[in-house]
Amino acid sequence: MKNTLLTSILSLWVSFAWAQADNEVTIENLQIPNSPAFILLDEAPTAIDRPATSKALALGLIDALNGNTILPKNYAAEFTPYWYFKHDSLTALKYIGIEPDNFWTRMGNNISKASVSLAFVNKTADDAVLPIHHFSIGARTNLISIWTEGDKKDVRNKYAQAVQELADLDSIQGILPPVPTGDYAAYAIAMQQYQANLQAQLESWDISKSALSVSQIQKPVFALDLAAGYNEFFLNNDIHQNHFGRFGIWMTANYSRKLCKSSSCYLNIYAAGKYLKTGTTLEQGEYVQKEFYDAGFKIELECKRLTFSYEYLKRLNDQENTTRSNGLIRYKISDKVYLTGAFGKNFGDTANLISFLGINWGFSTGEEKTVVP
Amino acid sequence: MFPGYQVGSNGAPILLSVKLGTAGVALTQLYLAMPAAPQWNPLPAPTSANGSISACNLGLGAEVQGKYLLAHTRINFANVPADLWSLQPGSIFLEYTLEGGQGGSVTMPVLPNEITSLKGGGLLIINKIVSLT
Repeated sequence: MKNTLLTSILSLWVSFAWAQADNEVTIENLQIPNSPAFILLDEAPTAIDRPATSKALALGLIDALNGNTILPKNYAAEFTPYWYFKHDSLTALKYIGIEPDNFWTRMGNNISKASVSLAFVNKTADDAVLPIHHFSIGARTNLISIWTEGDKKDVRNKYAQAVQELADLDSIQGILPPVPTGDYAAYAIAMQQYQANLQAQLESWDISKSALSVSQIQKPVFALDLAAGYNEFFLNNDIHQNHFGRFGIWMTANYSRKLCKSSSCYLNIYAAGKYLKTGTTLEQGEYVQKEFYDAGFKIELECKRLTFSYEYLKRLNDQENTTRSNGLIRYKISDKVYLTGAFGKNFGDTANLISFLGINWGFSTGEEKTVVP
Repeated sequence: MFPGYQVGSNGAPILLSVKLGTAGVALTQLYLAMPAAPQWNPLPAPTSANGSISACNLGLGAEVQGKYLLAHTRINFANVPADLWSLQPGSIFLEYTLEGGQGGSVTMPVLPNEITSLKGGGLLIINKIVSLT
């Protein structure tokens, strides 16, 4: 019953987003987002991350390769509602985030691009015979992004070059449609021919070499992000045995700099603060709620295909003085395939091993992964 | 049939505004042509802000009557992650407003068959043709 209900909720939500996206399922869409819904459940390879890409829709399946199951047990989905609405005043420079000049308007624009995530995870607690089913919802957004004046000028120059690239398409023969003759039926055929010719005429035009392509846009020197998540868990496959699991809200500040102007190597330094309330501790037959405050940092060296990072989080008011400490290595095999490994210690004294090795089908964050246990 | 706009034959200037909202880099150019003319005649380059045009003077009603108007827009989404390209034709805001003629102020939306998607959705070419009667 519980499985049916939760699966139905997830299916409806995903169906809605999928219908809006009008996309087929592709391997690129089947990825595990490092989303708040997953971070809240400690299911993500990194606890300190920023929303690098506002995805239209990302779906995740993990444990697909987990020994005893044929079907994956854990699911995640993340999407950005912003992309399903029209925005009459949107421009390329507003999308990138360097316009308008008004700080508060820019912040409002950033918040409007918030992403929403869901996760459905099966876990087995140490003291539970049956699996515990977790349902989690989360959201995250960038609040503030700051570029240096030099970086803004660079982006504006590249934007002007990109506009000129579009104007230069005038030199391509057949870029304009034929002039109507008054015979609409004949014109419809001529337009079909025109569209087919366009494909051929633009064959050699390489969009990836555009002056303002994603890889050419400098990261903001400083960014402040906000994320939150809420989780309920269910016992004994019973919809009525639901309990509060976790609530968390966390903020991440990120300083990012190119190591040298001509290279694509970045040094990223993160600082994170997190409030976490949990209701998963069983004491004398009752689940009790506890509050935690985490603070930590992450250092990341991102150079071409290779990324090294180390993160450390300390639970400030925990009597056991527990910490999370792990390293992560990511290698970009191609634009959409990453090899990711993570190893370290999670919070707590038991079941605290962080160990991931897997292939990612990712786009830009590279944190989406399939776990090979 | 192409959408039409009644300019009439009076001496008032006919104005076209294009309002475009998109995350991509955009450019809009305007052209006029008599039916079956060998090619489109470009209008003087209007002030274009990421593909939007504010009240461009097409000419007097009597001068443009009987011609076709082409608003030709190119949008490059190289600055947007490729996984979002497929959504862009449905998420762009694009409206054309004609005014100054006998038809008064008329706003026309872009239609799906006016959009040509190229380069896997990374480049859109949009042709709005209006018959000026």
